[in-house]
Amino acid sequence: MTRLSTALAALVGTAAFLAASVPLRADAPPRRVVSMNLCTDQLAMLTAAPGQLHSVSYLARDPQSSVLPDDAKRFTVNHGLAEEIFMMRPDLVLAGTFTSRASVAMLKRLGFRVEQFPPAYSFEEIREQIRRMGDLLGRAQRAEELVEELDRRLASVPDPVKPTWRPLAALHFANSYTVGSGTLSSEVVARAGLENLGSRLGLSGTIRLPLETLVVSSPDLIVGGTRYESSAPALAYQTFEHPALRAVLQGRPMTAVPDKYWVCGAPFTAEAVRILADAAAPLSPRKSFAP
Amino acid sequence: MTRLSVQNLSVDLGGQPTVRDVSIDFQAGGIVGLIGPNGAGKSTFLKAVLGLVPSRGKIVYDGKPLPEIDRHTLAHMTSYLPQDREIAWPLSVENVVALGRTPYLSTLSHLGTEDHAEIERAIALTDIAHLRNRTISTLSGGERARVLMARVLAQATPILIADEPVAALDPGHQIALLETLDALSSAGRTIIVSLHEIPLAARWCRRVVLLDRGSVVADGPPEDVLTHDHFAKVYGVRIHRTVTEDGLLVQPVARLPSPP
Amino acid sequence: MSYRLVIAGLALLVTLLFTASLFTGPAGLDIATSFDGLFLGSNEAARLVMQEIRLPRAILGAMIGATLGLSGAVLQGYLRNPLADPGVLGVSASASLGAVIAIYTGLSAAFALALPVLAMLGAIAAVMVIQTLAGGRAGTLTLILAGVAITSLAGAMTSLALNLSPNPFAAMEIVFWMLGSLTDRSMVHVWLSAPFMVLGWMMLAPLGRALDALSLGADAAQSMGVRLNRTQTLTVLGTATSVGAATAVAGAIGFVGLIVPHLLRPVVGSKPSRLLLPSALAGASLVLAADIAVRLIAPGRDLKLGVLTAIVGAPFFLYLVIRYRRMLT
Repeated sequence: MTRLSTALAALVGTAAFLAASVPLRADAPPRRVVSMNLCTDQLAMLTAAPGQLHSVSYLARDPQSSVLPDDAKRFTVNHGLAEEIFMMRPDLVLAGTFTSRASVAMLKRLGFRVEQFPPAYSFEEIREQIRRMGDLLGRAQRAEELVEELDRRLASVPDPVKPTWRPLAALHFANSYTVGSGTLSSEVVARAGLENLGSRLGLSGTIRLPLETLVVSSPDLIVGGTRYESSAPALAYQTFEHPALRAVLQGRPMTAVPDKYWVCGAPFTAEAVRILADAAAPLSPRKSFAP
Repeated sequence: MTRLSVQNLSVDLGGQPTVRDVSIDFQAGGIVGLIGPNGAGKSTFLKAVLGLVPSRGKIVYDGKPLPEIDRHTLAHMTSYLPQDREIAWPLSVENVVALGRTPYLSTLSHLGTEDHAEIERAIALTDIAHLRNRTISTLSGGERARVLMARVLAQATPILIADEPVAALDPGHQIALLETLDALSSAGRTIIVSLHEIPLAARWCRRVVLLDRGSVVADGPPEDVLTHDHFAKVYGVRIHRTVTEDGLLVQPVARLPSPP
Repeated sequence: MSYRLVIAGLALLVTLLFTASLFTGPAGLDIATSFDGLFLGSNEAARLVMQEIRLPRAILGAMIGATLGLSGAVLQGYLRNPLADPGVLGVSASASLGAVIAIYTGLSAAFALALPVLAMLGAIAAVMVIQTLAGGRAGTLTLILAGVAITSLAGAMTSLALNLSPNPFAAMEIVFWMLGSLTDRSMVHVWLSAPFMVLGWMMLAPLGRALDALSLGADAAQSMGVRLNRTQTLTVLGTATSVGAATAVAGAIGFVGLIVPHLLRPVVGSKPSRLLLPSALAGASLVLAADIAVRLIAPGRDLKLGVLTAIVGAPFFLYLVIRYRRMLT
């Protein structure tokens, strides 16, 4: 770590930093962890030992994005800026594979240890990521507990009550986006005993679903995400008010699964499954509505 | 009969006094010619008479003061040829002349028999029948000027005001136009024109008003206005002036030495 | 070509494109089902697609196109300038700004009419600036530069308002306001904007004779009985009302008002009054065609309408600039 120390000294030029920089043995668990991505924030908060996690991203405190906004208040907030994180002198930086590539690259250049987590696309990947987080933080046992919690919560959701009929669910997010196969959302939908319209239409990833395609598919359930309407309006939600969508719903509300439960894969993702399964429970096959 | 009475008219343009305390009564019969050097205020005076620029003083049409006459009514009384020969679009000659009938048409009505008759008369009077289907942008300056005059004639108003109607015309068409205007004035119209062509003013105007720096210097028959003294004072030029069987001939010939 | 023939031809074109718009969409309904959905409604899903999704879209396409074509023709006639257009002069961008303020402050959620009204106020502000400049017989260059300035300022303010919104989606919607789209508009949008567009048309339509007379300049026009103040008021309010309402529900769709009158001018003999109805019809055709094209070219992508009109319109604008270069200098 002398190179890091030299780099620090060269860049900042203060003895205080030199004195404070933490010597670290390669196999010892990190003692000052900074996470700069909402998903790693939450996994780290769940996994880390007291005092081990130093900072999480500002989104972790946002109750609409984060499941653990109150926990996040115990940590310093960062905005994913390299300069900011540099000043925190972490011995481990956690980032997403898609978050601020420039900042991550700079931190790596400066000699920091950066571990990147890709988005989880399935429950199996969630388990892997929890275990990886446990290994990185030297908290393997805690990680196993979290995996058990996930499995326990998934198991508590009753199995699909109607083995012969899987209600069709249309995921309808802001700007008419939906998700197809190969996503965590579609896995959640399937686990709740529903069929994902996006998957049925052969879509993959996150993609626009025109309103009229949704309407002719006559879904049994329309699932929306969190609306930020309370904080500020946006056109993105306009289709939620569209008369055609209202007609498809036949007076029932849209099923709202808060984004925070399935934007990131974690034990709490089981909550999304439970919400969907509860919404599906009272459904029964109805007279075909499709042309 | 006084058809248009202008009393103590003054106009300021951009803070500059352009027309100062001008009073003129216009009657039917005979062309009234407005002459004067560049910047004398001829065009401004004509615009003010039409209410196109703000002015002080009184302008009375047929006993009615101008502010009380709305644009539509005024357009039935007075037609106007602006000095600016702008035509924004490549319209056909016939379409331009037909614009003269605008005051007689409502939003949805079409040209009627009387309108067509006036249009044809105006086309004949200005000798543009052979151009009628041409596009205005393909015409020469003189042809274009005649088309615009035809538009004014088609408006068929008791008073006709034209700002330099003979500019850009060849001598044949200059004389033809002045003959036409003279005939119209004899038929009871009031014709007011501004012009720089002194020989034409001498020959065709029954009355000449000489303006200089916004004020009337002289107002009367050409013989009284187009004098050596007036030309020396206002234009700084010497003139030849003779009376022949064709009437008064006045021709500016040379610049006079500036007074010390 | 006879004027009536031009009108009849364009009316037919609008009808065909309106119909084609109704039959274009990702739902893949066959003709029989579409007709059923449109007129009978025995099939509920087809009825929803036809009556609630495609019909409002086609109606708005036609009406917004007509608005842009008509107001372009009126602005060109009034300003005696072939480069005038609600988009070029910044009217659309200012209307967008008004609409953005109405929506993102939450005003329109509380009071639906705030949307068209604020868009109209934005449009009026732009037309007033243009009018103030043009009142002094501004040259083409002055008008175009003023339009550039207004568009940039309104665009910047729109971006600012959307970027400042705490809603993460707002910033992405800058594109909508600058390029326009008809995707998933509903009858609610039709009811919100159509009355104002019609009101604007009613103010613009009777201007034909005045615009004809204005071909010879403002003084000549006044001497022919044209009341300049009235013409100005109707032009400003008519343009602002119709373009404001159109922009409020579909964003700023550029160049329609520029291209359409220019293409039709030689066909109808250049008379501004004869340009009004054909421009409205051709504008409707153009926007309907563009809206069909965006659905065919990139079905799942929500391609913005303004992208297409700009691809056609911007080179056209350059061509006009080159052609009228002498007027500009």
